[in-house]
Formats: sequence, C-alpha cells, structure tokens
Amino acid sequence: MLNLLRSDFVADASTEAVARALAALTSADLLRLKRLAQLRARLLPGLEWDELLNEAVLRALDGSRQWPEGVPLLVFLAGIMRSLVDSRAAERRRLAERTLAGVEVRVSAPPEAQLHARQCLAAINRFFAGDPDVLVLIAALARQYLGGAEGSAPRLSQKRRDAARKRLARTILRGELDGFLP
Amino acid sequence: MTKFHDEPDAIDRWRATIEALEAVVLADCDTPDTDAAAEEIRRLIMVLLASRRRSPLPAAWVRRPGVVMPPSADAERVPELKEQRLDEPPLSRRVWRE
Repeated sequence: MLNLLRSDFVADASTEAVARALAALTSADLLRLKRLAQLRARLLPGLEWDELLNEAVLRALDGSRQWPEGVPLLVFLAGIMRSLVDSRAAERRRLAERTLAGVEVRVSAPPEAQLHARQCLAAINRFFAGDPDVLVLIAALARQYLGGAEGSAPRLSQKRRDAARKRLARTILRGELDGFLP
Repeated sequence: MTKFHDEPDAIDRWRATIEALEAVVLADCDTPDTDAAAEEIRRLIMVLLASRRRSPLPAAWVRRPGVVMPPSADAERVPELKEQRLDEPPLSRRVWRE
C-alpha cells in the first residue's frame, strides 16, 4: 500500500515535470519533435505521424512512461515513439504469422512492410544521389545501429563529415525528405 | 510457397537509417524556418496539456468498487418527472387572452 502511494507521487512529479517541459519547448524543439515523429512513422506503412506523436505525449503526460533524470525531453519522447512503433510492428507480425499459420514459413515481417522498407531506402538513395557525402554519412551512421564494422566502406574527413551532417539536418528539418519518402 | 526472406534485412536497414536520421535531427543546433512548422505542434501540445488539467487526479488513481462517493455540495436537484395519468385530461394549449 505504501509502495503504491509512493509510486503515485513519483508518477505525479514526473508528469508535472513533463507538462512543464512540454510547455517550455522552443519553436526549434517543436519542429525537431515533428520531424522525429514523421521519421519514426515512416517505419510502419499507414501510420500517421501526428497520431504517433499524440500517443507518445499522452503516455508521457499520464505517467505510464517515466521520464528518467538526465535524459532530454526530446530523446525521451523519441524513445516512447520508438517503443510504440516497435510494439505495433510486432503486433502486425503476429497477425501475419497467424494468417499464414498453415504455410510452414516463419514470417519475419508482413510483405508490405518489406516492400515499404525497400522503397524508402531506394527513395533516400535517389534523393541524395547528387550528394554522395550525405549518403556515405547515412550509411556510416546506420551501420553503427546495425552493429556492423566499417570495413572497406568509404570514409569522410571530419570536415566533410560535419558539412554533410549539417546539410542532412537542414534537409530533414525543412521537411524536404518527408515529402519525398513513399 | 510464399517467400518473404528474399531480402530479410530491408526492414533492419531502414530502421537503422531512421535511427541515423533521428540522431542527426537531435544533434542539430541551428534550425531554419521554425515558426510556421512548429506552430502546429505547439497547438497539439497545448490541447493535450489543457485536457490533462481538466482531470486533477493522477492517472494511477482509480475509484475502488464498493466505495460510494458522497454527493457534491453544488449538485443540482433534478426535478422529478411527473407521470401523466391516463384519466386526466390532456393539458390544454395556452391561449392568448386580452
């Protein structure tokens, strides 16, 4: 009983902090938040970014997700969106497995998700075809998340890397990429 | 037979690409043309914050079954509905009189 009461107070303090921090977000942060939601929603065909952002903010505000100390609010909200998309993707996978239960094949993802991923990767390559440094940067960063070694992949000097990062950020924040992705 | 394993890493590669793009967005310091695009999000957050304020109880609090809530002090008295008896004549319509 005491534990329950204490956790209520902790949740309350955390949600109050979230509410205050949300109200104090600058225009630049709000724009970042929008682009983060738009990017994350691209992982699941048919998912609307504003629906995803809405759900993430609600989870943060109702205390069902605790805001850890020392974590920036945008990183916290991006984490909630990641986990929401992951659980929806897992749900779709389960549905696809159930539908194909008699086919004796282990479905890693519904076919439309595979197709969508391939189309998005191709769109990124087309979009930045005229800026190979940005493509090298994206590939290098993505490889870190895949856990692979750089190997014989092309590398950029620090100066070109920073410049490419800046161009990429500007492109995303202006919403140019979002309009181009399928 | 259905083959979904032709390119099993497409989703993983796309996911890693999204993570990479997100990292770039989070690390960026100078944001161009913010106001118009940010206004939409500001409105959304204000609506969510306002709806949260309407319910002052923390989300974890629930009303337990069997606990009868006392009536609130300013509760309006609901007038009892008077059932019309069948043997009564129907109410006559109001007539304008000089």
